[in-house]
Amino acid sequence: MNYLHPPRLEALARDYAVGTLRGRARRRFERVLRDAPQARRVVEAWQQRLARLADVVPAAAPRDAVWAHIETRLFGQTTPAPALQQGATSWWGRWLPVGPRSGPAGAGLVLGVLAGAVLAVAALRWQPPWAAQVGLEAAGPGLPAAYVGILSDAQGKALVLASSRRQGQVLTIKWLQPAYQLPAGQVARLWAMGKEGGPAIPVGQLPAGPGPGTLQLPAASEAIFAKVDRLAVSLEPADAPPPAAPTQPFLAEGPCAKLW
Amino acid sequence: MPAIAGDLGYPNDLTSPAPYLAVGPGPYTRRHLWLPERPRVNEPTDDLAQLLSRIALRDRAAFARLYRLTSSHLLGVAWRITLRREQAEEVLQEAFVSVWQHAGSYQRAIACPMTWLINIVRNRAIDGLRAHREEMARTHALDDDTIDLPADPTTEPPQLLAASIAKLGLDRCMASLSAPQRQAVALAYYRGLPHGEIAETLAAPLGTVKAWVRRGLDKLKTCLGDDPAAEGAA
Repeated sequence: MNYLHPPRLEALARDYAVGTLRGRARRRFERVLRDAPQARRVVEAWQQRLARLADVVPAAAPRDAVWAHIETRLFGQTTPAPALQQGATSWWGRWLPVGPRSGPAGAGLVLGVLAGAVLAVAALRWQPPWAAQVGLEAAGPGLPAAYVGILSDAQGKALVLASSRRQGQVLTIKWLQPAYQLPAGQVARLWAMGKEGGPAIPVGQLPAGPGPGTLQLPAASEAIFAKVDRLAVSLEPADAPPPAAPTQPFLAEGPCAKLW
Repeated sequence: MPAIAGDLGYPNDLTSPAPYLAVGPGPYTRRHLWLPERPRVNEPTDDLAQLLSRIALRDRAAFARLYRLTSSHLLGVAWRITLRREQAEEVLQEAFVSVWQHAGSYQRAIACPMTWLINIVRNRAIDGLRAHREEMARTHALDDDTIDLPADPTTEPPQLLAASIAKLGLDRCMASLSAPQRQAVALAYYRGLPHGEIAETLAAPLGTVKAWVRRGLDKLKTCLGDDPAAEGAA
């Protein structure tokens, strides 16, 4: 089915924007949106129209606890009350060994890495609309990520999620701990380590985060990652030329897998 | 597809509080449910966009301010879909976590900030509603007792749609829409209902309801003018 046929796209965009497009059809269209800027523009035009209907909706002040929970989740400040906490953890927060729910580090890490890889595919395939619209992932021809790496810090907390499409030239990076900030004057450099050992191969400089970002690969992902099973990040001085090998201990490292 | 110009804002006629909102101290204000003042519409669009760009730079004060300015309106939107305050507050929480994480991806050329925020909240609420219903269906029948959205005949979906149409000055243009068509659009937008539930609510065949929603929305598009960038001037 050609989703981009103008009358069909218009109808799908309308139904998607108002919310009547549901279930599998909604997810399918979200994948189209992720890859087709022209489809996003039609949806955005509809959302712009419909948002004008929202203006008359009576406001209702949220309880103070809502803001407290948001701050706790993002910045880890206060102790959340259990009532709202339940069921409100983000989808990856439930699985990755980060945050207050971390179990024993070893088991948590293994579970986190496995679940993270699965969820990374899920996130890229079934990317929710708010993520699709903000362009989290570089557009590709409707394919899920082929390579996924999850890098954890010395304490076993997942810190960086890296993913790339097959033959992609872009690595999508997500810092998984929103509160983490790079030390001033330093940049995070990504290294790939081959299955047969040997020196770490420089991949590039990570976006500073903490939001999602991308890293331009020096070659197609296939050429770089096909024989790589681990990724690592080291903090290097920002004012020095990119080193050929890591000069600092790794900030985080973890497995890199080819998913398909 | 016409290009979408930057700095799309709510047109001026929407920035002043609507007269029917200037109600005195009613039961809702006493219970702190509705806020008579609606800071979101009085806040110039650019301010919200600036807040978002500061949030992208990890400015927590800007984040708190955005929350103060928009959370009441956004909770109102979510509550109408979930019908349950606690669920709506969870939606709001998820949405603001997402805003903090993705503020850098907000592009003011594409949407005005409030539209962007409403989309995040509506999508979360609609997705959450589906998950909630599936869970309820597994455990027990959908329990109407937990619905806590105050019933008020003036804020039922059809009345909200009528108020919007009046406020946007579209009465004449939308006059050709029948009452059921309007009801179907109102239930789809304000309640986030799928076609099937709209059909149940209105006791109409599914195909008819789909056509009502389609015709209603297409009419809205025609009345607003095809190019959303031009709407502010319309």
